[in-house]
Amino acid sequence: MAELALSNLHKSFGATEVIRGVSLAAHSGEFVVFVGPSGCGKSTLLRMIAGLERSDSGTISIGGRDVTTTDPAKRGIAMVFQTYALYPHMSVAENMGFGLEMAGMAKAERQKLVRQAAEMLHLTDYLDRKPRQLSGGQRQRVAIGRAIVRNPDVFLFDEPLSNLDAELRVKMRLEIAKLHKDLGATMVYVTHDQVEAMTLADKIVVLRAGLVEQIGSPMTLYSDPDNRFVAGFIGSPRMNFIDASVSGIKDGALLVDVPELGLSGLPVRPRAMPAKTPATVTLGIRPEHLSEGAEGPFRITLACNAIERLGAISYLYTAPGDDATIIAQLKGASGVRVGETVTVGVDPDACFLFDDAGQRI
Amino acid sequence: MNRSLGLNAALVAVVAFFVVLVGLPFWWVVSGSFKIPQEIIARSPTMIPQSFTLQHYQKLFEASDYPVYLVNSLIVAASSTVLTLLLAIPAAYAFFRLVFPGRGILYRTILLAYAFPSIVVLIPLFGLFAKVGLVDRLPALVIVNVAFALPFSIWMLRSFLAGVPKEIEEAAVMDGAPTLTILRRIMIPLIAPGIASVGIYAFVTAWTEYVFASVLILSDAKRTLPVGFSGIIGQYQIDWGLLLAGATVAIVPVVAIFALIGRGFVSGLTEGAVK
Amino acid sequence: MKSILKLALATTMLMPVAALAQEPVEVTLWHMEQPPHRVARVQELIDAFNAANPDIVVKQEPQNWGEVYAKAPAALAAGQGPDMLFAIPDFTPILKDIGALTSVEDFVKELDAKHDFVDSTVEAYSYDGGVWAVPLYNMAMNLWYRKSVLEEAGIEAPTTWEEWRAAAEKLSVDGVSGMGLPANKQLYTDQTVYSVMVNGGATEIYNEDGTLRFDNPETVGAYEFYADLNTFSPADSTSWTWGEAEACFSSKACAMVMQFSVIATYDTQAEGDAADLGVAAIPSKDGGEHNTISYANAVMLLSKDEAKMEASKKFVSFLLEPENYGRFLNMEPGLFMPVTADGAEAETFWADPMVEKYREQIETVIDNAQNGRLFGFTSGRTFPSIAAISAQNIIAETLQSIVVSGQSAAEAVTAGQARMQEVAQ
Repeated sequence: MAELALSNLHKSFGATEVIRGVSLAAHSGEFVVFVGPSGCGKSTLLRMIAGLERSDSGTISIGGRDVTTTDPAKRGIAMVFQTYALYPHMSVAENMGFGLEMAGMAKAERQKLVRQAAEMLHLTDYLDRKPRQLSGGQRQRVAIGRAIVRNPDVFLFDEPLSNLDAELRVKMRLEIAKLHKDLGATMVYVTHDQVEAMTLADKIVVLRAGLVEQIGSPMTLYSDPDNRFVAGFIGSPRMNFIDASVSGIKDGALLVDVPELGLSGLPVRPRAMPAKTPATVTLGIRPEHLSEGAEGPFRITLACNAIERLGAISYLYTAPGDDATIIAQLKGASGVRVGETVTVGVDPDACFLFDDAGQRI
Repeated sequence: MNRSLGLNAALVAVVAFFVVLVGLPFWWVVSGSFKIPQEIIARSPTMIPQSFTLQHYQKLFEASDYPVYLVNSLIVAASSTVLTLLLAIPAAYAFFRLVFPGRGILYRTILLAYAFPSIVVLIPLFGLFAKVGLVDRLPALVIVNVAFALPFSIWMLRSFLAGVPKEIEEAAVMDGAPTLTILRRIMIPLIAPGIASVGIYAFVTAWTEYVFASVLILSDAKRTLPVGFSGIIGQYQIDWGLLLAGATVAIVPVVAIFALIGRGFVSGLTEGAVK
Repeated sequence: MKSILKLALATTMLMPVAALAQEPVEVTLWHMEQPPHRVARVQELIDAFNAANPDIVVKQEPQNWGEVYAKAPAALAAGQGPDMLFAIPDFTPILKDIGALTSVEDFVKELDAKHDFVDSTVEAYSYDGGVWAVPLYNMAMNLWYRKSVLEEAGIEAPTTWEEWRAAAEKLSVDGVSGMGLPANKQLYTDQTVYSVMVNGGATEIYNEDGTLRFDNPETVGAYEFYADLNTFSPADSTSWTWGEAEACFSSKACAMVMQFSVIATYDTQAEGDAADLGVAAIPSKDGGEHNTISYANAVMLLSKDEAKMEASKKFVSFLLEPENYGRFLNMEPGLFMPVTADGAEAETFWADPMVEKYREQIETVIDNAQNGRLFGFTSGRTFPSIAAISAQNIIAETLQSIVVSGQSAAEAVTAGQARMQEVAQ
């Protein structure tokens, strides 16, 4: 399995530049996930790797070969489409074998490879069926099987699970993870669902507006985001962002005040001490890091204006619908009701600081 | 669906109305072709024939040139249909999926063919054909039929091609299929209903074409059905029985085509391919 | 040696000439009698002629009246035109104008001396200092009825317009239409209306100098009468052509109709009782001389090649010989009338079983045809604009303004003249 390398790719559609200089690399056997909000260019990037879109400038290489201008079929890749894109008039076996047929492989050998892939995906009983006779999950597996038989250097997945219902999505996610382990192939996976990203990826690439925001392992992105965007994108519910001011420095930590919440002198250790001490910062803390009923010097009182009970946990909202709302995760089916207040503890080690430009301090 | 009895009755009545509206002329023509002449022109028309005779069909096939006209029409219509399809499918695919310089202009230009009523181009076309020795030859009619059927056929195939999701073609590209193979193995099976529609359109238009057939064909042996038939039924003395028999026979190939293609219609073909 | 060579050379030079002499002259005949039995009869005569004249081969190509007006000039322009082309009077000027015709005055004189043409038939093709076609057969409008039906109603066949109207009224009983008259914008209506016009003193639609005189009191009177008579016709008469009128008569839904001949359909589609079929001349306004519309059909000779022209003339002469002429006319017994005196007596004409069966009626029809007229060809001159007027069915159109749009006859006729002037430009 080969590596994938993108170098300074640019792409415009008409006057709009959609990919504005993207570089990244995937090592052999790595599972790379592209995430980002709608319109960030992740699908376009994938299609450029596939060869379905031509880049305006920059290079793409697979296994050390420059494939920037090579035909899609000759790049050593296989793609699984969001809409499956199965050939409706062909059987499952024919669908899976079509690429091999195009490559000129003999029928017997084709059938062998198709059968192998079908076994791997539990499709053996369906080889003679037509796509319209299959369920959504089965169709998705056929699409994956079609990619597997080609034995590509890189697998490309374009939001493959977004058309499935929640339960099926969980099931297929695990299957894809298993597939990756079994095949050991390099996989590039595009999704807007960060749960898929967190669970499947060896490496996540966060994209926004045609640029890479951060590349790193799921845990790195979770616990060490480079900027406010990544911090807010990873993790659900979203990290709380609170406007704060800095009152001083002590022991390598910035002292942070949030007068409205009654927070003062919260010592937050920055990743790197800035040259010039900022006057205002954005304080970030995840809902799951606000501890209920905690003792400690740093506590804030939150007004409950909405509560969502999920069974094992509950979410409290101070200003539901407002971007500036604070969300706190409470244990179990919390008894807190709308209109009441809750006091939660803030752990300074779990806090993040971002400057006015959104960069991590 | 649970519909009330009243609504059902109303629906049945509406359907029956249209069936009668469309079917009655056909019934009248076909049943009349077997009636004796006196019953055909009787003062009070008979919906259920009271007599039976094959004399009109006998006269049609034994004593007139109708069989010649029928064969000529079949040749011309079949050739026109096949040629139209052979040209329209790749052309439609080229216009709507491939990108080449001048595509947009060319597409609009072919629709210009319909800007002129056929009468207007008749005389210049006659002169053109005369110069290349195509007057009084069946291929001339095929050329004219194809030329007039192509723009609309290409246009009609467009909507069917547009109905095929782009991802399916992209998947085929990724599978390494060359363009013509994509057309042949993927697109054509998926637009089969569209091809059937175009085929029917081309056949019926060629089958019923009168203006060019009447002018470009000079000798009786090469006449097509609409032209030849209109001559043999007479001008001052109309042989009604012959007219009805000839009309009935003229319907048969078209009905046959519909029956054949109707069975080959694969609707809902793209179900299950996406989502 | 030399003499043998000379002989050989001479022989080889003679061979192509000999071959030429043996190659028959091919001439093509275009006619508009497409019904199969007519085509078959023409083929019989052609075969007989070809057998008797091995140096000539005649071929027929039946055409359609609807197309031939455009097709013949186009084919001639492309060098694919026929050598002989049947015609009616208003078709000939079109071909004369494109220079396809040469005068056959001498040939017609020759035939006239031999067979004695009905004068009006030659007149229809004589103008501008020449004769442009050879008359071949005639068709004239008549009034047809059943004798028993008139007897039962206690009336005689009408001879005046008053009698005609009274008869129509009296015969309109029990759902029967007393007089089936068309009111369609089509040639048949042109013919029937003009038939009434010529019997009401409105024969001439042109003045001597070529200006139109359609709008005159006689014409208005004729239209008034026709429109009135049309009230005794079935409601669908506004879409009638010849076939519908005959079907009405055959099925006894109409008591009287105007038609060239109903003999064929009466015999095959109706009861075919020859004794009961009555035919009369179209009634004239005041009972004076009866006129009718007549179509003297003729054949135009188009060959520029002398050999072909000679061959064509030979064939036409062959057709007019009494021993052949009867069989020619009877390609449609009872419809085509002889244009020659000796043709009217030819045994081959009367020998046909159908003609024999309806002898009485056919003799009447031949008599009536003597006074045949055709609008635009009445004064021994022809006016080119007649082609446009007839092509646009303005005479019929004028009738429709009265019957369908409810205009008065005077208004309609004035508008009709204006229309004629418009298309005459």
